[in-house]
Amino acid sequence: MADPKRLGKRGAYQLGQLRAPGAPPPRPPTPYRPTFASRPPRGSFARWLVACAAAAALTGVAAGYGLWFAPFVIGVAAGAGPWRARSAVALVVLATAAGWGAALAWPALSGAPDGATARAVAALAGLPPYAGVGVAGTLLVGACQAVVAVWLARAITYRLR
Amino acid sequence: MRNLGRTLNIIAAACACVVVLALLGFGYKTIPALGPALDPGLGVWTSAEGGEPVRSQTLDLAGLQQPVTVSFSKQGVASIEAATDHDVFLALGYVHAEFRLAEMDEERRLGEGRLAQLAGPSDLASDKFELRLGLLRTAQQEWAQLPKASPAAQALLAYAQGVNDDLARVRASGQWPAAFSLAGVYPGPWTPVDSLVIQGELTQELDFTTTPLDYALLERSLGAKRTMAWFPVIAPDAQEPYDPGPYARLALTPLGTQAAGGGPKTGTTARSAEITAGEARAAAALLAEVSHLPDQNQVHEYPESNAWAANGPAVQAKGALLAGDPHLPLTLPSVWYEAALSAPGLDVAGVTVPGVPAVLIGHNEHIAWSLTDTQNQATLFYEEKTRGDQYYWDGAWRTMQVVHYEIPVRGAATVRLTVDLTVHGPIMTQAGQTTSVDWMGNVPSPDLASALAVYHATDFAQFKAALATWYAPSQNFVYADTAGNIGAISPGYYPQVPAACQPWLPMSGTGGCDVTGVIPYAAVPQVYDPPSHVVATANQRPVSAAYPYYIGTSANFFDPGYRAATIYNALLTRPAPLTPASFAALQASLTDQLAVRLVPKLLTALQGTRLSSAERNALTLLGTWHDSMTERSQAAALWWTFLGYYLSDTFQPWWTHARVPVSKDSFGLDVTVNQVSLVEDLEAWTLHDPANPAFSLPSGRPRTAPQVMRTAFASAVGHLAATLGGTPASWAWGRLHSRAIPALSGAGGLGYGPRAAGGDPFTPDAADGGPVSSDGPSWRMIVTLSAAPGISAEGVYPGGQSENPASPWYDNLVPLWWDGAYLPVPAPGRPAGALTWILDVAGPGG
Repeated sequence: MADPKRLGKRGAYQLGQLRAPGAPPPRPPTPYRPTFASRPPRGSFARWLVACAAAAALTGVAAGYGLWFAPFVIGVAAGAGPWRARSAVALVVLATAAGWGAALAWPALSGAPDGATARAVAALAGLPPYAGVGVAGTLLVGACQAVVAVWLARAITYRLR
Repeated sequence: MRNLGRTLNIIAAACACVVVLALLGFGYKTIPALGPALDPGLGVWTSAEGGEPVRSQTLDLAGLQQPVTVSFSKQGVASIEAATDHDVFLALGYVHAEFRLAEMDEERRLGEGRLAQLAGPSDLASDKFELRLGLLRTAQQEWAQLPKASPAAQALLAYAQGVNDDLARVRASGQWPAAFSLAGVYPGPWTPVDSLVIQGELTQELDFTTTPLDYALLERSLGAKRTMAWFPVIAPDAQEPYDPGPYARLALTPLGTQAAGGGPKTGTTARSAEITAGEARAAAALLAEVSHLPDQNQVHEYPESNAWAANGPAVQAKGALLAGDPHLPLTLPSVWYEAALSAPGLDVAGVTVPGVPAVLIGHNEHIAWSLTDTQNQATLFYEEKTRGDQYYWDGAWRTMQVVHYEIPVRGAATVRLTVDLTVHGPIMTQAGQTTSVDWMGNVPSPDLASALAVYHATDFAQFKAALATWYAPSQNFVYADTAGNIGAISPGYYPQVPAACQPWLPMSGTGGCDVTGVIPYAAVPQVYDPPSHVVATANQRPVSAAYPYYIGTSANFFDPGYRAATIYNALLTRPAPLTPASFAALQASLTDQLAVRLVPKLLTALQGTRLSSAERNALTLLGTWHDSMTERSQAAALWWTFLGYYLSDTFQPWWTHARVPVSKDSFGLDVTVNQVSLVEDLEAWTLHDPANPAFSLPSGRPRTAPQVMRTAFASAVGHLAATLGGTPASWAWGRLHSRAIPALSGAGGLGYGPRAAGGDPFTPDAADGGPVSSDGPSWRMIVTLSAAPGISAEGVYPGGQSENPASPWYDNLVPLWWDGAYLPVPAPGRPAGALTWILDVAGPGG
């Protein structure tokens, strides 16, 4: 409770409230949007899927050339694209995981001991020595740069959308 | 307002992008550049290629004179057949680098003070220490002194070419070992000096000690009289010298380049009656620095190795048998790489050290040899009298030589280091008292030339002649040949100082206590075809107390001899002529000779005393025990726990009373079984002097050995009941003791174990290093020698030929080693298996 002696003076309300909080003020009305009006373009799921596949292929191939920052480039492109933020993030995360995952799995098809290598990578990095940790760490590096790229692109292209 | 928010959002997003990309692209401090490191196409993941099973192929190598064939057994053991010595060493360099590149690079970095460049500031202390100690300076000096047309120089050059051929291939393919890709630091070209540095590291591991500094702190706290009574020059218990004499006292040989200036110098030999505060401060500072070094191999700690031979009527077949098992820190990858080398006039097989073009332990067509560490004192500390940048020596002030180094540090600024050198060696500390070290490992030693000469030896005379230039580390070479002869010799530098000096303590640096020479080669410990038909070394003092030269104290640093006693006992009291199988059984022996000697005394001490139920059960277990430290033995658990309490109950009151500064160097000062001298004292007093004053308390309260034993026994039973629970019948040594083989990189999960195991430091199958032992037999070899069919060898080491954790040859030999199994050592000049590499001569342009 507030100190009654200090009512009306600075700091009088720092010790509590004079009365219990009332009901919150009513929210302002949302703008009316007729259902027949066209929504801002968000891109179809099919387009999203195609973009995701293309991005995955691009990151996978780029990894083979040492272009480890390809997920960032993909992220910028997706962020500037017609998708909502959530969709763009999902796109780049999935594409990076698929592209880099495929690049990781490719040597294993020819017999390279990728699982054991992933375990060694995790151990050398000071992480728990499990193959899953090594793979997850790698994918996280790709996803991280892609996500910040989406953020940057969306921040810059806000007015264009 | 809304615009401001958007602008801020753009700025925040841009900042996040810059931070993430910069972090991933360039790393930060010791965090590597994870972007390129984890790139799925070219980062650490390419190391998976190196983990694929080896397949037959043809490779072009620059520098080869003629094609070379390298064959591999199913387990990965290599056999190299070449047309010239040059090519065989080049191929060895290539094969070493192919399978052990990261290990080799880490080892040379350790010795050259370049670890911090790879690992960051955490390894800076190691780099400073190594650069101060001087492995790099010594290696550079050795290379400068080596005639470039000599076989050793040619072998080093060819070997370096082979390593660089592999480096070029890896660089071109980008398939670096994961350790490099992850750190983003890649190895530079290999040079002969790198190989000599690694040779120096082995020397450091085997005979660089700080025991004189421990002696100084012990004298300061316990007093000189008590220190020398409890840490005497000659141990009070029975020893098993392999060279029992008689001995000749010959004139000393000048040390290294000392020929012109050898002999006694002017200067004091006397020292103050007590260790001064400044001396103690210097000792403590240096010990503290050493005890914090990251690599346990930088100072000699544990006694190592067994090697023995038998001939004549002692062996079943005509000829001779030889066994060797060097005890070293066990790591994955191992310190060893097994190989057979063959070229016209050169046939040798055994274990090599990656980085060095030599078979260290093995055999040629006529002889076989194995090594144990001689353990003589090869490290002398000097207290320098200084004035500014000068020191007083031999009657005059002299200017110190100064060497400057720059140490690159990953994630931090380059560090500059200045090393001051006196005539004795580098200044190691200036805390309290300027102290330098005169270490025999800093004297150039043409070990490789000796080894190459050994490969061509056909009898003991040639073998002995070849080792005449082996100076450091001093080693016990056990020998056997196809003619049925056996022998042993311990080449090396045994520094001698004037009799008035005390080399087990830091000595005056003014010249009076300088090294006056070394024991002449003709007088070093040696034996040939002993009448007993057996010879064995297990790091025990190789000579008796009658030996006319000083070679070290009981604490600095001979083994107590329990392994040697067990081995000699088995060889001399053999129920039947010895065979390779009986040698193998002896290598796996878990008999604790100290238990053999002391347990009867314990049982006697407990007779007629009032015991609890648990104590009675424990006593019954001990009474029926056969002194074998097997994993399942209850009595073994009881014995070892009792020994710890017996040692502690006897000496700890004195340590506490005298305030021995154990924290300065727990390994060298604490009351544990690592204190060889104390264990020897306890054994001798228990057997022959049970009323020794040491058993009494510092307060004056008298006690005897049986009284202390009874107390220790009760404590041990109580401790085990509390730790393991249940009745004594449920206890087991394996519940207290295990073995582990950690990864050399230190990465958890890439090692082996810990796994419950038998053994202790006193068993031939030694387990050093405490409850989780990671020191022990690093290679087990048995060689059968006869005129016909010649030589055959079998061996195994706990590891695998490849350092790549993804390789099937990473740790495939560990289970064999654990089970006491052996594999045939490939005969030189014969294929090891069907897998073959043809190393072809590269055309112009590589």
